Amino acid sequence: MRIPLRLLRTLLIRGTLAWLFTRALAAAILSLHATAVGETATPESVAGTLVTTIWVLAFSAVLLLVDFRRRKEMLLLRNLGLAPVMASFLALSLGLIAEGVWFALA
Amino acid sequence: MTTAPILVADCVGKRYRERWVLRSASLRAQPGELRALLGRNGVGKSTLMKIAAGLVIPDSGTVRFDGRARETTRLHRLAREGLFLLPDHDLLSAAFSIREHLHFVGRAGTPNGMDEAIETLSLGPLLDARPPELSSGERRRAEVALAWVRRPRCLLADEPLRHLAPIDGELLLGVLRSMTADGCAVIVTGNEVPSLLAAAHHVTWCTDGTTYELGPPFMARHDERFMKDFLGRGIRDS
Repeated sequence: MRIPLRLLRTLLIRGTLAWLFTRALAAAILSLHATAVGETATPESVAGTLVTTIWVLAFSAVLLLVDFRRRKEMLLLRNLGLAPVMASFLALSLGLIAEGVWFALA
Repeated sequence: MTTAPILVADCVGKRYRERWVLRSASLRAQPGELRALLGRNGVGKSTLMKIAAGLVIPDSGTVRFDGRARETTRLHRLAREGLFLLPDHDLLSAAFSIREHLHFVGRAGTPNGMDEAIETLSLGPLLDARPPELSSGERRRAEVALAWVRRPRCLLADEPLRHLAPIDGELLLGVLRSMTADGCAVIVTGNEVPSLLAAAHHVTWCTDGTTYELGPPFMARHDERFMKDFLGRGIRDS
């Protein structure tokens, strides 16, 4: 299945923005939690546990699906042979790579 | 020789809560044929189209595409095999121009007739516009152009003539007829009965949760129950 370049670019931009937003949200929640339990928030404490990584990716995917629905793009994607869930994970490719690198370094 | 139907929805039943919209309805899409799916408002025409396209899961019945029955039919899978669903609204994304939409649906390596579609449907001045900037009639023309450029083997068009001026409706039906001439199987719903009867090769009537194959329009016009319960005197006598 061929995905048009312009569509792919748009999906990747949206996916990366969704990932950045979710990552920032996760970091804020984790640092608040660290402060609440009397620890100092460190890059390690807000970065890489497997659970955080999975949560960030899943939440980003849900955000993208909601965005597809809000923009009324579900039928267009399906008519192009692309399931919206598949499109959301495709859009998160860059976020997935970044999470992988971050997780490996943490 | 009659060719095998490319899409068959058989004995389909669907209920929403306690209300059965369809009890045993069937739909067939025949290559090279334009079929009009007619019926009063609320009888389940759109539901039947959505079930055939894999957008709605039926409570009973089967859907076969290209001879293969599937446990779960999904539009994106059928689309890869040559189905295109033209919904009654919301096919175009506000994020892209009409030109970009047309490029998205064109299949690589196949002649898609994009120039012909643009010219026939007078889309030239609208190519760089985004859908929210267009009127509903212009959007509809653009949506039909997408279906044309996609070169599907089967097209399900839900109310393609709604909100269109008669001249635009004629234009769109001409496009759908030319798609059938290229071998595409087309099913159209709508309430523009005289236009649909004039363009269709075959009429399917949806009523009381089931469907009746009435045959060519001239035979449908002679079906007593269809005349009495659906056409009414105005169209019957036209």
